[in-house]
Amino acid sequence: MLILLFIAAVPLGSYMMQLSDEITTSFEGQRWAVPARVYSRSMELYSGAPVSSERLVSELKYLGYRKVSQPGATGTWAMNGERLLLRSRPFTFWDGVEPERALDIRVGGGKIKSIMNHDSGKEIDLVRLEPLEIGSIYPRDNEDRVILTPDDIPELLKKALITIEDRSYYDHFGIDPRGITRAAVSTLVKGRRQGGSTITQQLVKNYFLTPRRDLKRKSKEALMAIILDAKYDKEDILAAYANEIYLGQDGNREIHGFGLASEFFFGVPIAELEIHQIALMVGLIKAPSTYNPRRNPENSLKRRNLVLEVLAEQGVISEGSAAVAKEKSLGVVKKKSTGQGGRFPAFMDLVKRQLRRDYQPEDLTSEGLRIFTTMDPWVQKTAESNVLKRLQQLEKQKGLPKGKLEVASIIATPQDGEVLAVIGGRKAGYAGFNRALDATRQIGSLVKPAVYLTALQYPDRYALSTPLDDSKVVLHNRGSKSWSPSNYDHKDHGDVPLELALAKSYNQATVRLGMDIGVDRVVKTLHALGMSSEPDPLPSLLLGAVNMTPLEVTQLYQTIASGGYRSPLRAIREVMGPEGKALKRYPLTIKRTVPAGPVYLLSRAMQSVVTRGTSRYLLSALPKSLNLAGKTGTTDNLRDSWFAGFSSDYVTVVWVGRDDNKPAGLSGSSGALRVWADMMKPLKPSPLDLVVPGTIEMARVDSRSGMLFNPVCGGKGVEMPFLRGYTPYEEAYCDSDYLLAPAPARGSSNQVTRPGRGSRDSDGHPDFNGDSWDNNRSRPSKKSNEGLGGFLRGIF
Amino acid sequence: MKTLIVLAQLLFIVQLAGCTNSTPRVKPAPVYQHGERVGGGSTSALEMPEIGTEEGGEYGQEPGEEYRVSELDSDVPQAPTDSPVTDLSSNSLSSGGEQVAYAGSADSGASMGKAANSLLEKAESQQQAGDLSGAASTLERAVRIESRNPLLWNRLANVRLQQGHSDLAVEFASKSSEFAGSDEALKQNNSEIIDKANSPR
Repeated sequence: MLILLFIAAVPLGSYMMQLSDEITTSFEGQRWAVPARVYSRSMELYSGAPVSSERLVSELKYLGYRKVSQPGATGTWAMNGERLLLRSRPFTFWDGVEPERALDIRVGGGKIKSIMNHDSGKEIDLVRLEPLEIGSIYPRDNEDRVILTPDDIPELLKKALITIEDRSYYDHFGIDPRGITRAAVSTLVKGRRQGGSTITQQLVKNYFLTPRRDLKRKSKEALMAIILDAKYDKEDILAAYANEIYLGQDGNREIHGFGLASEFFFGVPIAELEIHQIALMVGLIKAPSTYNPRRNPENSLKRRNLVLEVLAEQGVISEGSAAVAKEKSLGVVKKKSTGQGGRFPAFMDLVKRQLRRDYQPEDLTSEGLRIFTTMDPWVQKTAESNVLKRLQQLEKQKGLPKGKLEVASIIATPQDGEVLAVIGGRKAGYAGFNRALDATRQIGSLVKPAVYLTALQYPDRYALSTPLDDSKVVLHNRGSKSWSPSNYDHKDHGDVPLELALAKSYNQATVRLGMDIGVDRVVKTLHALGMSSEPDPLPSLLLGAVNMTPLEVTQLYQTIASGGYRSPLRAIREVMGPEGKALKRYPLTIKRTVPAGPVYLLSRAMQSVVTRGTSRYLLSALPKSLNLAGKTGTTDNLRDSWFAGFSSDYVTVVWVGRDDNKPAGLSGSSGALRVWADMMKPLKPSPLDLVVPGTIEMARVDSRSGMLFNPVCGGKGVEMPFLRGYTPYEEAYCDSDYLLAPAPARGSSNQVTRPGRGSRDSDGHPDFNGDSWDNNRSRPSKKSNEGLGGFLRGIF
Repeated sequence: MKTLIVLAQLLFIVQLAGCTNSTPRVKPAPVYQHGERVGGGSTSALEMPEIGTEEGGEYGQEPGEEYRVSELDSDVPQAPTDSPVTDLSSNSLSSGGEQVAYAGSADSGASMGKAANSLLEKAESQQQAGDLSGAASTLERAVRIESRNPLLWNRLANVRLQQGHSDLAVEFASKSSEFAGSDEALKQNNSEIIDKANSPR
């Protein structure tokens, strides 16, 4: 007998050793591909922070904080007038842990007035709320999960799992002979199938085996369950089960484990779940689809209440608390995300592109990385909700076909180039063609600031006051037809000061200016601002015959908005490993690529675009005191409508047009500008307060001629900024004389107007060699010496 | 009876299987382990990431241009567990760690809020502990709160100089001076940083 047993045991033994190895390998290595989780920026709270109560409350709602009357539990808040009490959640950042805190916040007038520790009454300098999770990057098998350690799992959940799924869990050795017998009897006698699987077996089935039902598989499952139970701690097996189990579906995405299910169904971390919520999730295991609380709320409620009854029966919870829990609604939040893009697919798209440069796809879907982005949920949401409204309004107003207008936008910070929001199309929540990143469109007059910025780098020729000739211009190209661009209003405006020519976006004046400076120099400026392509330096470029994406345009305007420091736009700040270790930083970098003085002058002219140019609409839509700067853009036949503008805290680009490139019927100011204003208004931008570089000096000039103000003529003149050493040196002629004046010259052959004139080089460009810069020999020498030095400092 | 024998046998074999691993009831390994390859530190030169399409070089930055400061932040500190020792190897580029003495906060005419100030203090202690990357990160956080505070840009320049990122130090110092208004002491300090950064090693 014994010998027989031993003969049978040898092959079985070696089979089990093989299984044991299999289990060891996969259970002790990385058990799951842990998807990367992507977070928004975190809200910083401090006294004086520009956070209105509306904004703070909306942040708390995004984060799933519960409004209560007395915030005692983590993740709850209460508000009474200007006072907000908040029990914040702890969170591990790359640079340390932000502890849980009881906060007493006073908020009013669009600001945090004070912030104190509610327990100690002490003032707190700075608090960082946890960031909002905006998406995850899960692998091709579509399994998404948030891993819980045994300690993370609430006791009640453990007890409920055992009570409902496997009551003798702590007593059996992986399989439960009594359970199996019960199941067998039930099947044989009652003809009803009943599961006799233990939690361990269920884990084995889901984790190691393919879903087939036959005796061989069943035996293997049992053997593996026994081995698993023998080798590992009960608590660890239970945690593995809680992480493995399938609990729901979100499009392609499979919701695995209670960690993710808690976020998915209730929008809160698992630690904050209440009895009725835990019961609901435990009830889901049996049939996640049938009991799906969103799709089949009635089934789900019945199942949940059944679970509650059983828990009370078994003494896990009291009858009283079961009764209370049964009265509660399901407590499920609206579904927030669909598919890979999460709630903010356009922004996630940008994040993924940035990640793709530094990470293999497997790293992103399996290593449990935490990715901290620059996205501001409030900015993103506010922008999204205002865009669609305006588009519909525009379609109605202009009698455009419904649903054809598309939109793209980027909102970034000027000083550090962080992208706060991305609008990829009119339907914000839907992944798809991301126009902000992928639609390359002609930029029209958005190119003009580059033309004027180039000119302003030659202060001996051009200042804001320099009159430009806006008469009809005809350009002859060898071998091709001549080109004669006209103004938007088809009028000639004669001599216009440079500042006004930009403000009004006059094409004729701009073409003359650009041809005089040289298109190749304008291309250089565009590159300095951040353009990546290499367009042919054709005259049509001066009016925006160059294609860019809204993202690229934002880069250009970021450089201008920061006073000439280009910061490569970033969507990610840090990448952290699963254990809280910082893995990679995407640090702030800046580089001065255009000189401060000319950028300052340009920015002043761009403020004139708003105060007296094509964007005056902003004066009525937003407070005048914001001193916003910007530029409209419109392309041929109203195909593209653009606006790019900035305050001190936001640089924002908006494009409106049609995907089929048919005319949209909107100019920059009738389309994109309106969208821009709607998006920016609720953000309450801070006023643009330009820093005056040391290379700037002021002078009072005659506004018509741009010459030095002449008191003899009467009037007041205007105070204008100039590059130091390049203020006009000749006094204006009085009105009657003005027309007879020899200067400024009217540039029939693009002759430069004032003050000095360079010689021509062989290309027909004025000679801009260094020695011709300071050719104002008639000006006081004191100034010119100081000025050249100052100017050179400004340029380099 | 037969079932019992089989069960006994199974248990015996399980024990056997367990014995081969010499630890009968093992605690499983941590739930996840990440490959070293993910870590920035183990790869060679880190490039400054930029946003755009897949291939490098967009946003007007030719390869090799100043943004591609290698190793800019490869010295991501280990989570401060046991030994808060200055990790010299982590600042491999600093080669002696050029430093310019701080411009005192008090000297700065710019007023600073408590939030930014608390971060400035944190950055200072990080810098003193040799965690330069952490200091830079903290200062960047402060800059997000007060983006036009010249002292913060000055400190950022200081940290980058110490890390050996001279180009960036020059840019930050210049930016600081532009925001500095009439704070001559701070401007002077920025000039010193720029001189140091520009001086040949």
